[in-house]
Amino acid sequence: MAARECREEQDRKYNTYDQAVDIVSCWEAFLNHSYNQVFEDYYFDRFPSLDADGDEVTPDFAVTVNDEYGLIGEIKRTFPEEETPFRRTLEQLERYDEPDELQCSPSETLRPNTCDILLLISGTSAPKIGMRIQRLIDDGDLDLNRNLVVVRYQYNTRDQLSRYEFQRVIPVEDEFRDGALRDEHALSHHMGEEADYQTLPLYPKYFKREKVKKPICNDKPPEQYLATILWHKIFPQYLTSSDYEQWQSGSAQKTIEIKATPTEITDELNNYMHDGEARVNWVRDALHFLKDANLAEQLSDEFKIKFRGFVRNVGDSNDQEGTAELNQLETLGETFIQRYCEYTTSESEDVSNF
Amino acid sequence: MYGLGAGESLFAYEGLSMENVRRAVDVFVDEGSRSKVRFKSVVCEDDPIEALRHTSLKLDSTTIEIEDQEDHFSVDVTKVIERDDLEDGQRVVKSDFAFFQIGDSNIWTAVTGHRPDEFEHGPLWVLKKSEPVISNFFASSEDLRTVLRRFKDTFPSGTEIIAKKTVAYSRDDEGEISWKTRPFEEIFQMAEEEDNYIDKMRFVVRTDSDVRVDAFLSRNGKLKFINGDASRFFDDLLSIFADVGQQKADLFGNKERSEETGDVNEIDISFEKSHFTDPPDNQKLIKALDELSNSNITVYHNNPYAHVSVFDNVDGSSCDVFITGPKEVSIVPSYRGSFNSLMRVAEQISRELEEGEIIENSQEDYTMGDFFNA
Repeated sequence: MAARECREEQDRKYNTYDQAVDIVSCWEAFLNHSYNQVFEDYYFDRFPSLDADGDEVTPDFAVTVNDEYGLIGEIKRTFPEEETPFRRTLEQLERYDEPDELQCSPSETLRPNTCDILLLISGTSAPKIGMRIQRLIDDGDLDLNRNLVVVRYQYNTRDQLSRYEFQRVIPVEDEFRDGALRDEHALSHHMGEEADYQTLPLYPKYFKREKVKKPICNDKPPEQYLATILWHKIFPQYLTSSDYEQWQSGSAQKTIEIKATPTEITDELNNYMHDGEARVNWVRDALHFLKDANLAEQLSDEFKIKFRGFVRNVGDSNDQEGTAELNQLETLGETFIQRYCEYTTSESEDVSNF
Repeated sequence: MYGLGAGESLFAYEGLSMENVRRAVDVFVDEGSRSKVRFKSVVCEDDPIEALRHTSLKLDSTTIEIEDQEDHFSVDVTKVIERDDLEDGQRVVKSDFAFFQIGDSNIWTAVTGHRPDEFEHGPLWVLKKSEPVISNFFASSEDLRTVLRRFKDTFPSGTEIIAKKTVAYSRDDEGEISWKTRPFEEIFQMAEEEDNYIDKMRFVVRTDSDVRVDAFLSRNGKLKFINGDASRFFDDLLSIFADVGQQKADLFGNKERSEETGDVNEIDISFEKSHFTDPPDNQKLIKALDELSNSNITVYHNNPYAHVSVFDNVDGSSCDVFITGPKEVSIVPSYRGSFNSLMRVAEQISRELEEGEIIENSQEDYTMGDFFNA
């Protein structure tokens, strides 16, 4: 793969994943506001790992509202065109028919009487996909006891305040079965037929807190995405004040070595998220990505991260080595992707300036 | 002592106190038109003297000696500048300054009569090198206007404040604009109408034809006393200016994410103008943050809304910055989010986009119904 194609592919994965984090954060913020003060057992599980007849299933999120109602949430951005792969994609949701125990706190579980599957699909071809899903249900090709509530998401930039919008996909008839909740707390009452399938708008100002607190979701993050989070939020925790002083007194590009195992870094990341459940293999792969970008080395199980500031402008006394070389707007994510692609693709370009 | 010329004789006879520093300043400025007294006000979140002592240990080229004078500290700085183009390959800059706390606030001020070179390589150098415990704060144009209004109110009616020279900046081409003598209110009005921000101003306070105070103030906390009644400057202007710093300390201090609960705080900036009406407008914020010194950014989302993470190399602080509306930016500090770092980020946005209103956002509660009616 050529370096340019590599960069485009990495960029695409980075942006797609960020949108998934947004969607989960939207629902976490929306449901936290709606239920936190109302139901004692309400819990939004951002990293569910549920038992399905002895197998582990990992939907994008799971929600215990109370002992009456729960949700298992899954995000699907794209669907295959061909019928067989399309059906197989949907059949995967059958696994979400099984788990009946959901977290109602970080350490406790509960079995809600009713649980539905919430499928969030991208807005562009949602009506068509909805028709196809309903046909599978009608033909008995999708064997679900739980209701499959399909909601489409899209970003609306037409109005002054851009926002994500969520709306029930009407061709799919299944409704939220949350009738045990009072109308004011029921999704069916606000988004279902009785509300004329009202649109749920979610503005960045509502979900930003959730996104900052937990910058990843229950899917494996692309390595370059997780690498930026580690670089900005986790690796600095390994530095001492004297490391920062060295940056201030010496070169802004000075490399500071951090040694840690993937497990240790995963623990730090999960502490950062407060009850985060990032997997060790996600972090290990991100460290390998940094290794490929020549920003880390592997020493048996431990990694040595070559941490540095990537600072272009050191301020008043701009006389530090290396700063003039970084002379155009380049964000950390772009820098990582560029380095990775230059080092790992056949059409290597000159990277000596980094 | 403190570069105060003839004024220093007071110290020999009457002791080294802030009262005598003030009197020495009076004597010093009377010596001639070139005698100016320079001040630098800073925010100190922790013990600044400890921070200066630590700075002394870590700087190879600079010696800092500190002496407790009961109501202030005297700080003696010797800095060796080594450069090939200098005669003998180096030069030595010696200076000293009085460093004192304003009331019981977080604001400390350095004062010296030394010339600009000594001021830069003395107090400014060691205070800068003591970041983040000692931190710059930035007064907005509106803050500066408020300072002058409040200062004017301490004088009898009929007193006016005339801006003798003002330096402002426009955002379009980053050009410097100078305005000559005008009543200060007119200057601020002009700046507002032309979307400029005031950087510094020399002004005189006059009652009838008497010059009460001739001074200079700036958004980065540097002040000068040039002539007039030093008591007015010390007792009134410095205190009023310190209130601005304290407001910033209250706004940007202790806003880190809670280690215990994981909860976050938010600081919102509201602008008058709609800066972000289309996704390409997001680049204005991204570019502004990218140009912040001693930091790097990563962009998680830039279309259609913007989400940028900023990492501050000064002390490892980080924050997430969001565009939350056409006129709104929100800053969410991480577990490490020092005053120094947040002040720098907010100032960068103010200078590059607009000096918006900055407020702490206390999270509101919404019901499910509220979301559908938003």
